[in-house]
Amino acid sequence: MAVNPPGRATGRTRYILRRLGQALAVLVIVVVLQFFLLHLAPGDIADVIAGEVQASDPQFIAKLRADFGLDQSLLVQLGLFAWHILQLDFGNSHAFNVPVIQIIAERLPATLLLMTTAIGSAFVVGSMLGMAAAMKVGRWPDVVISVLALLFYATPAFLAGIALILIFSVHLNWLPMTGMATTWVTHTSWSYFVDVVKHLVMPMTALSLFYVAIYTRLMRASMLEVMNLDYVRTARAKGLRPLRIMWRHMARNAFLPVFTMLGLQVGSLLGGAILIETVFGWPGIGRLAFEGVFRRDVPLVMGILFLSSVLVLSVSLLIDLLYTKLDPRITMR
Amino acid sequence: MRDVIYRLFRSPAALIGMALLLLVAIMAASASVFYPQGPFNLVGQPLAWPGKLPGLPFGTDSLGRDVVAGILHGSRVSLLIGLAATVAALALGIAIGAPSGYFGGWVDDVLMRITDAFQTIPPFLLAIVIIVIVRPSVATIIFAIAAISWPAVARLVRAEFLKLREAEFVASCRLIGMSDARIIFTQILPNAMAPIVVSASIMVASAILTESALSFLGLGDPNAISWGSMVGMGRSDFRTAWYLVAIPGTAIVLTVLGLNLLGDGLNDALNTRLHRRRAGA
Amino acid sequence: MRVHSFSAILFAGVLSLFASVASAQAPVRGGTLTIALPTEPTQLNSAIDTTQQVKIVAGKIFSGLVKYDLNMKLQPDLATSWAVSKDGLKITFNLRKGVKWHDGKPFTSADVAFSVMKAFGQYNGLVRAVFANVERVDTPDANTAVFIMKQPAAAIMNALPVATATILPAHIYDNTDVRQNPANQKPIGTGPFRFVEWQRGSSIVLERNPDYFEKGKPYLDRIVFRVIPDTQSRGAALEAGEVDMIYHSTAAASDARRLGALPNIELTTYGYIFDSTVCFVEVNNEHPILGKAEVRRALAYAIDRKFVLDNIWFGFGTPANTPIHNALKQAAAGAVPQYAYNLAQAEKLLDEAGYKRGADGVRFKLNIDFVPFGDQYSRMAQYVRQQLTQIGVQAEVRNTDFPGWIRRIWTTHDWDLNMSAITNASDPSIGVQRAYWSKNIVPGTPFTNGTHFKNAEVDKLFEQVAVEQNATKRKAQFASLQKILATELPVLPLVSIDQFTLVNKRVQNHSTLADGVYSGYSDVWIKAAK
Repeated sequence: MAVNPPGRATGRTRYILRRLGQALAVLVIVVVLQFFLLHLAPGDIADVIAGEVQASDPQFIAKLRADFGLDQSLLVQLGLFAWHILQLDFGNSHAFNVPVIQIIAERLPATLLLMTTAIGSAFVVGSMLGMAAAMKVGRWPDVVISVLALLFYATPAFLAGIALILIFSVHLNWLPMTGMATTWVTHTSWSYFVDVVKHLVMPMTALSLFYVAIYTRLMRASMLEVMNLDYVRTARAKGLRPLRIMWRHMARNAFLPVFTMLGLQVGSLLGGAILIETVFGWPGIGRLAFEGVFRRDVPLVMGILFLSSVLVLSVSLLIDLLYTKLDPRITMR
Repeated sequence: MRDVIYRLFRSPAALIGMALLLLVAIMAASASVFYPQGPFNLVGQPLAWPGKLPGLPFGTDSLGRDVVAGILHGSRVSLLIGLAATVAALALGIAIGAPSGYFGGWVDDVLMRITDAFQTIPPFLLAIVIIVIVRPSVATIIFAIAAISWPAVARLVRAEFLKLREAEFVASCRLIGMSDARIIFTQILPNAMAPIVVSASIMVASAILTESALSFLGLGDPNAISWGSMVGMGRSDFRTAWYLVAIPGTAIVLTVLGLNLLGDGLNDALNTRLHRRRAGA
Repeated sequence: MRVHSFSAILFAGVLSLFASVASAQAPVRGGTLTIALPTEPTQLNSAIDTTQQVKIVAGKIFSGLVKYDLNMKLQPDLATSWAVSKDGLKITFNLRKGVKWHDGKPFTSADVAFSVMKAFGQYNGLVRAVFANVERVDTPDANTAVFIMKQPAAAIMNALPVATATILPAHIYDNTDVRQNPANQKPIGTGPFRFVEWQRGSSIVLERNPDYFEKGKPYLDRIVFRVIPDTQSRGAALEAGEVDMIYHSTAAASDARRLGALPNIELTTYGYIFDSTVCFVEVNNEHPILGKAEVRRALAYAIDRKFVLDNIWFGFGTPANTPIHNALKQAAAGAVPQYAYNLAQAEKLLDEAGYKRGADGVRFKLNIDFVPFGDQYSRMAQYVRQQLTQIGVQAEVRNTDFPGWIRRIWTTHDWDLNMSAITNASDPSIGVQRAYWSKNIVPGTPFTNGTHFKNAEVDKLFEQVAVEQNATKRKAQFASLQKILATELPVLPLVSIDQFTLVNKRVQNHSTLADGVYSGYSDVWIKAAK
């Protein structure tokens, strides 16, 4: 990217560079903010460990604090943390005594799988429902879909999760209720795939309901708006087939706001993942971060937050770039 | 304004929404009338199913407290948290978004990077961390929810201000030497209120949802009964007494539904007004 | 084998258990046992970390020197026989021959010496104090270990099972930082099961150790621990047959009765003698008002322990009069003062103590804290607040997470009442003394004497029972001790808790030892489906 000398940089490169600079600034703010927040919380990892193992020895606790570097001043700790981050070293988790990066690597795939399938299915289902509602606006399919979307929106994800477990695991016994895979049997790659899919269905559904609602409403609204645009009316007047109009002219434009939303939602998805991973025992990093907060495992939580910030920032950058491609009217500032 | 109200009352969605919210408001107002001693009294055998004991149509919870009393008093706390968190988030969002959009330049850059930072941290996790720092109470839950909801308001306000600062009426205000603060508060803000009002109704709804999620994870205020904390407490008895989750759960869903319907109605009503004004200009 | 009356005393049930064990069929080899873990362990070395989730896994991988059966009779484990000298200053263990670690290296007395002196004797918060009495461990030959004591320790034999005194391989741990050793993540033991893999966040898998020293055992092919953090999901997983066992009361107590009544599920409270836990209202003895014993007694009258037992613990336990669990027969309480539920009496005592109701009906205000685990303690907090309101004491409940709670109780000491419980472990000298001995007031250190209770007589008695070799004398000392504790009320005892296990009926022999689910499970087998 930075190959072009500044004078000859194209608009696009300049835009990307500018956005990267902004992302970097945001990252610095996030790290500093999180660091101080986490250290403001009462108690530290030494309290937790001493409490868990019921160690009744002040020297033992003092040694723990020294081992974890908690006896140094906050600024020194922050400086050390920043210095290590620059070398892409996240340090050791205090609770697990294992490199943070290793724990995250072990648990990130589960969360990514959950998040991408949830948001992906929400995107597909929501877009379809939204389009269908828009095509039949004011008639019963629209009403049914709109009411459904409202209900999805209003139902807390954890309640939905509990209800799904009750119905599909306890009563019907169709789906496994916790975990991500049956890890202790030998799998062929096919049976492993089927196994994971079975485990995935419920948490994915519970997590996606809220987003299905959002995308349905968003798609319906933007379809309705696009339908009234002049060129769509013209196309219709020209006698083009409705489906063709929908795809060629409308969907393409209607997708834009939906895409923007996608970028904004990575962070909130991770929050939802905390609840869903707890209900379904899904071995992801949402729960890991949550438990990390309660164990005051600062390196682990900082590592997860840092990586998720990087993720959020890169997704939104990517969406911005896609945006400029999808809609040439948008200028790059 | 009268226009808006008229249209609001002609929209079936908004009517249903308002009816639901009216019901919740009546519940909140009547809590002290019917249950002046509060929701914590132990009135009978614990975990009695709805209708099993006379005078306890919704049954009792795990400690033998009347669920109806909890629902009525809980409506106050849930509404309070939803409304207060929203007002706080609106105030903060306007305070950040307005100067950002109005002045642009480095002010915008700095304020928006801070906003980005708050949006980059997974919001729910941020709320958890804040509550852990200050210990859960109604006030700190309001604070935490406000802290995670203001960035969206800031962005919205900024976008409106970006649009409106170029408007003719703003330019003329500048010409007659009106101060920036006055332009922001008396000229642009009132004109930017429509989308803010619409998003406010949704924010109340999501604040109530967030509070219930926090309570579900055990981060509720033990001195106040909210619907969220009723769900949280009822959850461990879910298999034997699912009404303890279902009753407050339904209350949450209906209230959130009502707020959304009202938001939709407001959106339609206000937008038509906007369209017409623009068309007439 | 199921306990029908939950408040039945543990030992009464033991007899019926033995009856059913005797009539059991011949064990069958094979099968996988799946156990639900409520919390994921951070590592698997129980010599340094005695949390439940570590003990239950490590107990299968490692061995201790001895085991206890349900009659609290000593049984051999790594030691085949033992002898305590009359003065209690020398304990000789003859070790099993031909035992191999899971990596193939032989087990010797050097492993025992290392483990006592440098592992659990150093780092195990629960039993460290007991093993501090060991001067050194002599190893005259590879199969003999001799504890040379500085002074006798009455509780030392009770501390020896694998759950608290895990024998570690010296060849792996010696000259390393025991707490940082990578083997804590991939343990190597001498126990019936070998570590296979740990999928972080989801499961830990163990498999049969083919070289286990008890020939023909273990019966199971495999034990899988599944991490299921959500209480409801654990219960549902048991019901659906996805897991075989929920241990240590980690299903919702209200749900446990329903689950236990299912045709394929058994509910038992055996196997927690070593984890005997009493829940109580801890009182800050340095509080200007609560520091007075008559005020504490008034509060005791205001709490209906029967209500707490029935509605918060769902009958799992017995009302407690003292902070020592009634399952610990070596320390049975004699006649002690009782505080039968009586609000009028409570008000009268408060009036007499000079704390009359003000114009607003309030005598004074208090804060209530609670252990942030499970629902029981927060419910106790809610209940106690409501009871105190009735006698004119206004209380606010504070919800704090674990690290914050530890800080508040033991470091900043900024609290009034605290809903809590501690394990008595296998002996009051291990589990109870720490909370009432005035020399154990150590600010900043959790699970020391956090109430700051000081009583010279209590101190003296705890010091006596720690070294007393005569069981009858020791019992009498415990009786006087408990009389003082029940009179002075440094804590208001509520319930002697019976922990419960919910287990699929296909699992046999799961609770035949005193440390129950934390034992090695070499005898456990699975009945094939009919």
